[in-house]
Amino acid sequence: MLRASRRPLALAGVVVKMSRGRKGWACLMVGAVVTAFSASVIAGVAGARQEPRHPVLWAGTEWKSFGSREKQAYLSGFVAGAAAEQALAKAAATGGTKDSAVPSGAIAKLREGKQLHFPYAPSVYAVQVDDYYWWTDHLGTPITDVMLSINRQMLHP
Amino acid sequence: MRISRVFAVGAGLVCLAGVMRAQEKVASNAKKDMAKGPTFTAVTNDMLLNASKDGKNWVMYGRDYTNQRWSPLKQIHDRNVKDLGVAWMFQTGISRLGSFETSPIVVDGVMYVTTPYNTAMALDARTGKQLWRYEHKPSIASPIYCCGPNNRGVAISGGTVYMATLDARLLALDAATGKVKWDIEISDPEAGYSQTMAPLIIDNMVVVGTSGAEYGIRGFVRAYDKNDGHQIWNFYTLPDKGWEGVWAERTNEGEDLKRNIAAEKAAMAQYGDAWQRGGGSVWMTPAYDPGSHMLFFAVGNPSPDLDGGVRPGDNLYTESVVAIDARTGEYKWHYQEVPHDVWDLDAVSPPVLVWLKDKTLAVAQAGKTAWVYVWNASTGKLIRRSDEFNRHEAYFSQPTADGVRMLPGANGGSEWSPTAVNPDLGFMYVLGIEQPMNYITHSAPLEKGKLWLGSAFKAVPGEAQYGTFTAINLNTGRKAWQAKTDGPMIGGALATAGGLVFTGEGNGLFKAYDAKSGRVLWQFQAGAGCNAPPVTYMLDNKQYIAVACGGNFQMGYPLGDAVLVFAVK
Repeated sequence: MLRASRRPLALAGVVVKMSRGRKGWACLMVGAVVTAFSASVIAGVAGARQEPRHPVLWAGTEWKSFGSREKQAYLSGFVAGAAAEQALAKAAATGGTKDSAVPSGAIAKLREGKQLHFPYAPSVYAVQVDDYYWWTDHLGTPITDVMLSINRQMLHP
Repeated sequence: MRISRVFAVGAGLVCLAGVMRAQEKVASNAKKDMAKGPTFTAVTNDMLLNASKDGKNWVMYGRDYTNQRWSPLKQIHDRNVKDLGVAWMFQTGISRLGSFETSPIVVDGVMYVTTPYNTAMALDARTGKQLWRYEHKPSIASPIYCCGPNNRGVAISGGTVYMATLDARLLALDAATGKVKWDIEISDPEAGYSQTMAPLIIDNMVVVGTSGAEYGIRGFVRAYDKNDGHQIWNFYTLPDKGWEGVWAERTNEGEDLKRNIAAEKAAMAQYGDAWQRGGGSVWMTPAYDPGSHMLFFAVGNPSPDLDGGVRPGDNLYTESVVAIDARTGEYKWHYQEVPHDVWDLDAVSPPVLVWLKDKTLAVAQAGKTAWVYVWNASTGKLIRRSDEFNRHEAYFSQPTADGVRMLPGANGGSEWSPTAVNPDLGFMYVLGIEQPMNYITHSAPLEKGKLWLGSAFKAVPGEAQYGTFTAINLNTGRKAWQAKTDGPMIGGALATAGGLVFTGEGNGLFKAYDAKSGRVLWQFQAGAGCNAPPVTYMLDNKQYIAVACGGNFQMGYPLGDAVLVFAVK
């Protein structure tokens, strides 16, 4: 069965622009996803429950309303946000910065060094999240929790 | 007359003495060899090109470039196979078990095997003594792969053994020591690329295909320089132009695919770039024709596997057998078995080159669709499709919310299991799976203890599952014989000039069949599933049969880690 047609997103560009922003990276990234989502998606989710839930609370119902591009966009934001958060924490731990002065290329270095906490491509995570929400009794679990859980399982099978 | 008799007796005695001396010499040499261990032979291109005539060794995955898994050895035959017993057994001792799918390579007394999680080892093929061992440390914390941490074997050339790994790398190991000569990344493992196939050596190239279509990759086959690992050519299994194909409403053989072509065409505006993440794994080692330089391989499922809505069109070249020029990677022809597949009925089992009775060089492949396809190797034109080797029920039904029962299910038909061919009989031996499945579009609560093989296909509870082992006459397409087995068949076959066919089962039985009649002539209980392709070789004038018996996790068959080698007692 075909999904309803939705407008393509260009989230990658948003992520790049955000990569030198300030603290609260993961939230910002998820926020970017929200901004980038087409109005029809948000309206669809909101219509179902009067007021839209905060994106960090989105769960299986929202996930199931996404098309493949939206899933890709959401997870791209999540993965990029997590990487930014990790780079910021690392810089702070080494005494270099408390805020936005993450050295240019720090995230790229984390990736090259195979040190990212969320190392896989969004397409890989999307398959796992899809599988998780196949079970109707899983639909209430927030996507963020699912990501934390499946990432742990993937890294330590 | 009397003189001649005396002469004859005398000559006979001289001959006998000669034979005895020769046998003693062989035995003595064998003892010496056993004492000092085998020597490592550099495998030349001539050895690879003439592998079909090699009476001793098994130098590549399919034994020779045809992939026939046919050996001219006949010391073990239909009359003495009952005396087959274990010559030696080697337990790999790996710490984590998985499906044990390796096809050993044997060169002048040295056997090379691989295990799940990419341990490679060399064994003394006379005794099973380990000569070296290489344990691969993945380049990322945890490689992602579909269907188990499998590896199907190595390729060998010169003094180098080549292994492709789960973290999408290609390794060159010193054949004598197991030390790494070079190690390259084929593609990004964190994007879902992984490698499970045994590579193929052609001239100066190592040819390898990728797996990972379950994670939105773009599949490919690549050739690397065997000396330093630099890439020579690349062939994407998903072309950037023409991926949508001809919008086939039926298979090439006429079955209705029940597609909504209008809806798919409408979706092109949104998903016209789906080829970029369209799947198309190449799981198994290609066949190669040195005469035409053509390479033949099977391409697996599109991505996402079951949701056709986001990948409109025929999704070429998924579900196809493809021919390319092995010198350049240039496309020659393809034949798609299932356009726009939403049932995971991909082409997996390796293609085989065969000469038909009418002298046509053909490519044959056993599909998950439960038919064997036979094509003209030059043109790709279908010569025939065989009788079904597993039953077809409600075939190509679109999945429904309540579930539609279909047979064969998502495992086939024939899974990745390599077939074997007896060229004298013209028979191809095919491992088959009778496993009805429900294809469902809606989600469901988790039911523990039920076999689920993906998001939307499910073995039908309570329905019998079993396996088949079928001889297909490639000259007629008719079933010559068929044996039924306890469980679905997965692993591989070996055919020999001794009139035998060997294959293993998930229940631990390793069997020899009469190649012509399908009668079981011998069997051995290995304790774990014998779900790997057997091989045969000759050493010190003695024929051996080798098989890995370490089970299969996908089918739930008991796991283990043993390589078993048999000889006539």
